[in-house]
Amino acid sequence: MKIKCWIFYALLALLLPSMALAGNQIKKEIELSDFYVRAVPPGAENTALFITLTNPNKTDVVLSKVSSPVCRAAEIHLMQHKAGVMSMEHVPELAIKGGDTLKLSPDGYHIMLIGLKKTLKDGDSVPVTLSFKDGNKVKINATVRRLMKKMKHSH
Amino acid sequence: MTKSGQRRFYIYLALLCLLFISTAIGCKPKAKDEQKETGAELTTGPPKGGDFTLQAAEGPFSLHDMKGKVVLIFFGYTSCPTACPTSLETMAEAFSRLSVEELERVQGVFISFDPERDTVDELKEYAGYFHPNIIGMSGKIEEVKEVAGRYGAFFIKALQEESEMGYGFSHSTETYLVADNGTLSEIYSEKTDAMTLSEAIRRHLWKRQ
Repeated sequence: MKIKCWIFYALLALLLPSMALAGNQIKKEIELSDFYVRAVPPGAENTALFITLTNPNKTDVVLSKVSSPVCRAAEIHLMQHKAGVMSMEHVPELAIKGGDTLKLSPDGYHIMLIGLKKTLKDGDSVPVTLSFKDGNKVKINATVRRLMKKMKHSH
Repeated sequence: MTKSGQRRFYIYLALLCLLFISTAIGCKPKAKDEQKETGAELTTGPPKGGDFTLQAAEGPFSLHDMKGKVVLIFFGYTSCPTACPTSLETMAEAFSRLSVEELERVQGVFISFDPERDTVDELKEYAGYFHPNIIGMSGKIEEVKEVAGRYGAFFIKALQEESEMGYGFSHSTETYLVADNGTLSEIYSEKTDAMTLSEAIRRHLWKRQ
């Protein structure tokens, strides 16, 4: 009986650190950078949020829900170009592969902010909550900005 | 009508019915996000362009009133957060590269193929936000479809029932340059930068001088 107990504790002692290590690896936070909301004309129904997501883990991280108080709904959409035609598709979730960086852009995956409750002006700050499938939630404040490049007047 | 003629007529009628039914079945949406075709067809052959009259906030707008001006036309919808504002930003940036004198002879036109949601007043505000030289307009969907078809623009209403958007559009993203005599002269892809576009406008403005 006593010996069995010792073996149990020894095994536990061996296993625990490795379990903790594995746990640490999963807990590494996804890195979010270059996030901004596109400024759209007053009265425009929708706009889009762009983020660069870097997954430092070995396993996939899945973005499953986005929300913001500035709009009625936030959804992940994919824009595709096929034979000169642009089409948009609503996707339920977005997987970022282990070790990968995914840059959201106007001509790829992006987050649609649908039914804007007020006009977002250049420089405004938009609070956004990103929820991941593993239960992790990240809050960011994205700045509103126009996409236009620096204007160069030739006159 | 002879008896055999009558029989032939009924056979044709039956075949026509069959064709109609099979087309209807073929078009039936399979998935929830399946596209519903209500847009302009892809035209074959080079687009003709030509005159049109659509509704702007200030009243009817006709292309022939723009004679003497270089006109840039883009087809889109205001709920589009990606391709449409990008193309209009590029058009605006191209305009901002022109001199005041040149700008007097340039007109940007934004034609909405979503008259269901885009009112003329909204279109005025939307287009004007990008540049004061861009005017927003629309019309009955059949009218917009007809104009789009002539210019080679394409759009399909895409139902997105699972999305709060309700519906969106799959569409082409070209910008059409109409010369000062009203003829469709050049077609620029979405990838065209503002500098290329402004140089194209200049080339047209100064070609006779």
